[in-house]
Amino acid sequence: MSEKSAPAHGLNAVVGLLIALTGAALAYMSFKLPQGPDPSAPGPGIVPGALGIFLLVAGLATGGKSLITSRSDGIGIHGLFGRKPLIAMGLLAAAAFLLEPFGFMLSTFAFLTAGFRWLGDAPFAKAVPAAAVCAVAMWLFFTKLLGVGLPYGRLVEILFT
Amino acid sequence: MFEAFSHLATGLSVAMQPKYLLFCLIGCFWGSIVGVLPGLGPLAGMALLLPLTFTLDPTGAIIMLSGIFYGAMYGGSTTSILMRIPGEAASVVTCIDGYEMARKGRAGAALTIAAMGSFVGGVLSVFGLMLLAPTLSRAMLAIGPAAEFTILLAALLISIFAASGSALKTLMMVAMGMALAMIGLDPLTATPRFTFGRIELSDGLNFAAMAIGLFGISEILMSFGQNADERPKAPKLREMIPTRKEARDSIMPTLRGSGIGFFFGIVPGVGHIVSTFASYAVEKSLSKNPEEFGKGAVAGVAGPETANNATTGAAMIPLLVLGIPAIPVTAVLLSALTVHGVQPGPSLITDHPGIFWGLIASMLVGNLMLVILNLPLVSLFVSMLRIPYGYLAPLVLLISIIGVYSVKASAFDLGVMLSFGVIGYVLRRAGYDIAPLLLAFVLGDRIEVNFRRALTISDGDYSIFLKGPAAQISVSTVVTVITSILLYRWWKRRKGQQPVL
Repeated sequence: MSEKSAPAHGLNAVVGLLIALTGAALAYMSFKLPQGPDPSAPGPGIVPGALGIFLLVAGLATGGKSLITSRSDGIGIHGLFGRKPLIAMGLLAAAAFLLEPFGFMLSTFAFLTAGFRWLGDAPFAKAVPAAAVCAVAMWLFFTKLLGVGLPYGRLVEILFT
Repeated sequence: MFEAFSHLATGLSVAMQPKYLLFCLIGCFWGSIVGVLPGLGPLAGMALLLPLTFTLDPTGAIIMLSGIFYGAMYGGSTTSILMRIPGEAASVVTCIDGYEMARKGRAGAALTIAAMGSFVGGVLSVFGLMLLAPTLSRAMLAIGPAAEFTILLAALLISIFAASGSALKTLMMVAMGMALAMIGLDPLTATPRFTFGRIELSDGLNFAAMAIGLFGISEILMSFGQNADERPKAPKLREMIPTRKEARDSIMPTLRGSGIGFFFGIVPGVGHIVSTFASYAVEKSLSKNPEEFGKGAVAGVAGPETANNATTGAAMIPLLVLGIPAIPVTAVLLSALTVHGVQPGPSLITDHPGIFWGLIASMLVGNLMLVILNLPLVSLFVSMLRIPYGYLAPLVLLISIIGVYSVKASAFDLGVMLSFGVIGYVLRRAGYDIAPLLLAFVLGDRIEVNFRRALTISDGDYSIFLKGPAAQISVSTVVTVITSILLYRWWKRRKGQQPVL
């Protein structure tokens, strides 16, 4: 998306249209569900179907209004995610994906090292020991003190079972 | 009344057990921390620790979570007074005169006045809760599905009109919340709905993953780029004592703030923010020196801070008596109790007296703990504000991961958390208030089930929703509250001012 088109196609328009799309999908899936034998006994598809139609209409109204009036809501799609929010989301996704295969200790150590380095702008010389200490402290606190079950990782399971 | 005090004694015997004192202390301490740290409010703080409470018994879980709730209300004033940054939304008003007092070298006195006001407001509202809740719950025991549907819908409608931003956007959030609540097996026919064949979705979306994503993760993403460069200085202990005049000036605002906070706390969706603004407006209009407001008036700190904490006890009334979370924070409490198989509502007091009276007693104990904790530990909380946000954020994200994973040891739930983190972030950037989404998610299945049951009972006659005193009182309340809000907005706009509601 170009810089010039950003205000006209602002975030409000995109979010409104996405909600309308969600509403349409919801309504479509709801109408495939049983609607009930008669109006006096509504089935499981009635309420979500009505919600879907409302979301479709309301989403089109807010999104369409932003598009037609070209009203800028002060933020374009290109300005939505700054560098650090994007890094945080990437790290979170990686940690969620690696938690079970690599285990809590290893994935947490990697997550915190990267977090301190790229979110906190710490040099690696500081980030690595701080991450190691925090990972061990967290492990002890949650598993030993609070009794939370955290994964050891597939490698440890293969080696020790 | 005598009966209530005798129950309170039983509650104290529960709350004073060492393990519950410890849970209360942990909750108050964590609440103070999340209240102090800008960006993390009581909702995010509770959502982060919610999964860990699943390992506790229901009494311990609700005592700890409530401790976070009112702890955050206490903690929020610290940054407002010292840095002019509200630790949580309800402390915005305290920034005005609290910071001005700090600039005049009276930061310590302002913190003490805020803490004492919070204590008095908190304790008086707990007494109000104690006296009002049993009577109301006895009246609520007789209602049927149609009246319950009307009451639930009334609570949601009031929340919609009281929410910040556009009413249409808030309605869309409510509809989305209700739609999300319908994922899983239909409670009446067991038909799978919107599960896409995933076994993980047959019980519905994991509340903790969703709440942490929507409020915890999105809050952290929003907070990047809002780092405060100011390094606050902690006042010395001897500077914490207010002068005789300051103490005298704070007495009446504290008492009035208690009443205002309690009144607004009962109304669904209105809560803390409005009560603080209302208290500030009342104090300014009653003051002999209104020109002092904005320049460090003691009443401008005492009134709003008291009202803020008085709302906390009152907000428990709709939750414990009706099973309706009036604000998102109490929705987290409702979820915690439901996980433990305890359904808040009119029968809670008779079915689980230990939980109800234990919670009330623990709120009294917790308010006392907070005064003892917050004043001497102000230096500790201030030193936490010196930790760069870039270091704090990965640790909070990590606690979120552990919290969600610990519920069901499911990597799928981590995906849900991340998805709702991104959705919450985008919606908030686009100006949507996401709190009604969570409220509607919690109430969604009850609204639907009662709606369908009532129509089946009445053979499709919609007038059933307006029959009976409970339904009629709900409808009258909705009409009164919504008319008042609309009139207030019209009046403020006519005066060229920005309405807070």
